[in-house]
Amino acid sequence: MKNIRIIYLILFLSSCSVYQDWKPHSSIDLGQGTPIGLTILQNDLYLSDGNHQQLQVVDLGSGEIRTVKGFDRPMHLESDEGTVWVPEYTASRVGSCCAGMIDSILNDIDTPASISKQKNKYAIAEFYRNEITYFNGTKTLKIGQKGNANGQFSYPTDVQLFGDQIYVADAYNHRVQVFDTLGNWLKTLAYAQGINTAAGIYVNQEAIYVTDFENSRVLVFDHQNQLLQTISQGLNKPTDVLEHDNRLYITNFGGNNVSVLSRE
Amino acid sequence: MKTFIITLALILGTTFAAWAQDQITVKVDGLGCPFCAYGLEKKFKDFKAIDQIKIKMETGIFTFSYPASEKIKIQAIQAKVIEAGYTPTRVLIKREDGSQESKDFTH
Repeated sequence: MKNIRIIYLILFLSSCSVYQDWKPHSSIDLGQGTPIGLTILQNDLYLSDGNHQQLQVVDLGSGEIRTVKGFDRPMHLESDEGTVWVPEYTASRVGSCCAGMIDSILNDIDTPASISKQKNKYAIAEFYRNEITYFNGTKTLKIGQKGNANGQFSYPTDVQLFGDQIYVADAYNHRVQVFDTLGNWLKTLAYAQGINTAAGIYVNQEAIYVTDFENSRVLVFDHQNQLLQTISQGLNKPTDVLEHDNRLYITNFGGNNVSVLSRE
Repeated sequence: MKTFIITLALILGTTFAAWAQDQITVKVDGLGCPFCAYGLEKKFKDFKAIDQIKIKMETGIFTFSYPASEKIKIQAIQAKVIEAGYTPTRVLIKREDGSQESKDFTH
C-alpha cells in the first residue's frame, strides 16, 4: 500500500510542470541592425531590421548573417508553411520572404505591425486603426477600436493566434488582451507590473512573454496572470521574444543584438 | 546666340527652382519607439514631394526636405504631427533663400 502511495505521489508531482527560470546564455551581435520582430524557419533566425528596411537572417548553426533587402519598415514576423511573412508598416501591406506578396485579401490594411498565421487563418495588428483584423479562413472580422476599456486598444503592436484565442500586445495601454475567435474579449493580462509600452508578445502552453520596451525587460506570466519571471539582464529596448529548441531569443532594438537565454 | 543664352538661363533657372529644397526640422514628443517613429514617417509621406526623411528616436528630432516652390507652412507641419498622434514642440523651416521661420509650441 505504501509503495502504491509513493508511486501515486511521484506521478502527481511529475504531472505538475514547474516553471524554470531562463538564464543569460549568449548574444548575437547584429552590427548596426535594429531588430524589431523575429521568427525561426529551418534553423534560420529571421529578424526585421526596421531602420535599414531589410531582414537579417542568422544561420543558427554557423552564426553567419545575411541580409534580404527591399522591405518597407518590416515589423513583427511570422513563419508558416515554409514562408516568412513580413508586415511592411509604411507600405501597409504584408509581404513574404522571399517569394512575392500575399494575396489580395490583405489590400485593405493600414500600418500592419504584426501578423500571426496558421495555414488559412491569420490575424494582423493594425497600429493606427487600433484594430486586429482576423481572417478565419472564410470571413474577415475586425476586433477593437481606440480606447482603454476592455476590448479597446491604444496602438496594438503584436498579435499571436494561440489555439482558439487571439493574444494582443496593446502597446500604449501597457497590457495584453485576449479574445476568442469571434472577437469577444476574454481577459486582460500584465496590467499590474508597470509596463511602459508592451511592444511584443510570445505565447506557449507554459507562459506568456511580454516585452516591456521602455523599461528594458521581459515579463513572463502564467496563464492565470501570475508573474513567473522578470528578465532584464542584457536587455536594451526589447521588442520581441520567441522560444525555440530550449532557447529564448529576445530582440534588443536599442542594443543592436539578440539576447539568447537557456535553462541550463 | 543671345537667344540661346537666354533660353539656357531660363531652363537652368527653372531646373534649379525645381531642385531647390527647404529644410525642415521638427521636435516631437513621444517618438520613443520604432512604431511611433515609422508611423510619423508614414503620415508625412502624405506630402508627396517629401524627401530626405530622417528620424532620431532618442532625441525626437524629425527632419526632411521639401520643394521650396511649395512653400510648406508651419501650420501644415504641426497639423500632420498631431494627425500622426504626437505632439510637436518646435518647428524650424530653413528656406532655400536663406530665410528662416520657426515656432515653439511649448510656450
